[in-house]
Amino acid sequence: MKAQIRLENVNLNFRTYRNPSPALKERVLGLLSGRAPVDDSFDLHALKDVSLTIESGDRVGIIGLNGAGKSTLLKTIVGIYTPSSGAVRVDGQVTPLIEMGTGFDLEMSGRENIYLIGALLTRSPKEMRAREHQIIEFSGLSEFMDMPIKYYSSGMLGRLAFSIGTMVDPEILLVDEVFAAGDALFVDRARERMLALFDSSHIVVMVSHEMAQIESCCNRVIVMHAGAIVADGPPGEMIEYYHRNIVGRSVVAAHHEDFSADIRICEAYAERP
Amino acid sequence: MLLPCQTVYLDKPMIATIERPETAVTVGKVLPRRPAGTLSGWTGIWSYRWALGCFVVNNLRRRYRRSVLGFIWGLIAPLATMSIMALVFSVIFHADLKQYIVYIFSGLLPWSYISESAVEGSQCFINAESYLKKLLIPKAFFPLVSVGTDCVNFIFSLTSLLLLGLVAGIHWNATVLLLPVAIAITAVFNLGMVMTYSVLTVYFRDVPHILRVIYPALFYLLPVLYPVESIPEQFRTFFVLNPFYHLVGLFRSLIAAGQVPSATQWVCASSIAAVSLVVGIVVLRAKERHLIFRL
Repeated sequence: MKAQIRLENVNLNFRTYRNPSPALKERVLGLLSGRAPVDDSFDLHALKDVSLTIESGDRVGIIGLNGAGKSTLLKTIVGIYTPSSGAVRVDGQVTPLIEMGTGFDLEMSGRENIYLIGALLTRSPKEMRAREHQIIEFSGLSEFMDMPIKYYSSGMLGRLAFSIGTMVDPEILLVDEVFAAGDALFVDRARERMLALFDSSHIVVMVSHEMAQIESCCNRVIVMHAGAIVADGPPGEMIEYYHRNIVGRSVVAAHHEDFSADIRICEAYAERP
Repeated sequence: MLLPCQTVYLDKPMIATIERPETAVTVGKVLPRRPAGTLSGWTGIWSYRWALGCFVVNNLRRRYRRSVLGFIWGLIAPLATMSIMALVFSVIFHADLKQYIVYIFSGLLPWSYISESAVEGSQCFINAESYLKKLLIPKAFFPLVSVGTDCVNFIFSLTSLLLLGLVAGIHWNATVLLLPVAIAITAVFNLGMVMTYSVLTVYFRDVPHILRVIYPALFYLLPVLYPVESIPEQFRTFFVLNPFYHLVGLFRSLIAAGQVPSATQWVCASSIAAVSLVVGIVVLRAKERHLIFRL
């Protein structure tokens, strides 16, 4: 069986509202006074004509500045965002590595959270019971399992989140800057776990700012800028390209106005002739 | 505004060919292939049944967390309220108002279920923003959690009423055994309502506030504190047109009157619930893909 991700001319427009939900009052008052409603929305073209095919065996790293559209691309592959135009086709079961702490219920104990997160990933309590021991052991938090996790330190929370999140058998693994928090011992074990997970997945797509990690884990790198894919190729070349053409120039731009340089550059790129 | 000094031009995009290793590792367990998007669809909701259970239980537990009596409060609280009311009424009116109290509560409890579900449930998407933005969960999940939680509370209250009645020496008719059916119909009605309201709320954040005003007002239009027979004949049609009247009516018949509701009553209530559900599904389906951009 072959897993595959295909994106064809995917565009994603975010209609962003300065006021995300205009109160009814304004609508009604606007109607009554006969004034045309003020359009306070502006479109953010978050993905621009993205076409991409990822085949079985690809370990893809996505790099780019903040706001370049990396996470948006992942969320579009997962299906959280529906593209405004274009087609997304995913063959295989997509497992996003759950963002640290997503879905945690702070009032509940560590053990209960294992089942809760498992359920959110559509795993039955039975399946989770089979994994519970493994998760607890990996996290190294067995003596804290029956304590509400709001008393955990942030390192402990990170360890628990990582242990639960990586206890999956993915076909297509999407990783959005998930790094293990914790002490050096745990980080080492976590790295090992991550690599094992990568090995057992058909496809890995990861977003990261750590070039060393990208270089060691991926066999293909995509450079994104201002919502578009600007380069696609082997890791070494792509990372160099990214530093030379995007980071380098942004530093120059940021020098003139350090405030939201990224966004300005995005606009500049969008409006280039 | 674009300042000239910030304009950057990138090199022509380059697309390099890459070498793909012959990996395609065999995964320990081959999972059934699921076409893309199914999880967000309506069939996918079944995969979330455990999550639904977890959320409902956690919501309830949060309410009674760390209290000594825990879940028992779910029974005691309505029990105490009803006893106090019964006591006050019987002192004020110097009469045995047992039947009146039963009459009132058989209408009041389902009504509170309906109105609390609507008001609380209307905010379910807003409260679930962090889930919606990070996980792909069928959107109907959140209304289900909300209605489910309120439904369990409602069952607690009804049980309290029945227990209290037994203590007070009321012999319940066997018709109370049909209560689960009435509860199910009401839950379906609420689910439809909550789906509609919660989608509306994402677009107009005023909706919960409006509901909080409207629902108590509707309460007085509903023959809960007074019997419908006390309404002059010519106005009675208006009451019959009230959809809530039929739902509450089921509980009235089963608990207070001790009668099995007539076929017309069942059909009326079920069709109202069905219409509500269909409207809810249509509204949610139309907007489910856009909600994320409005949160």
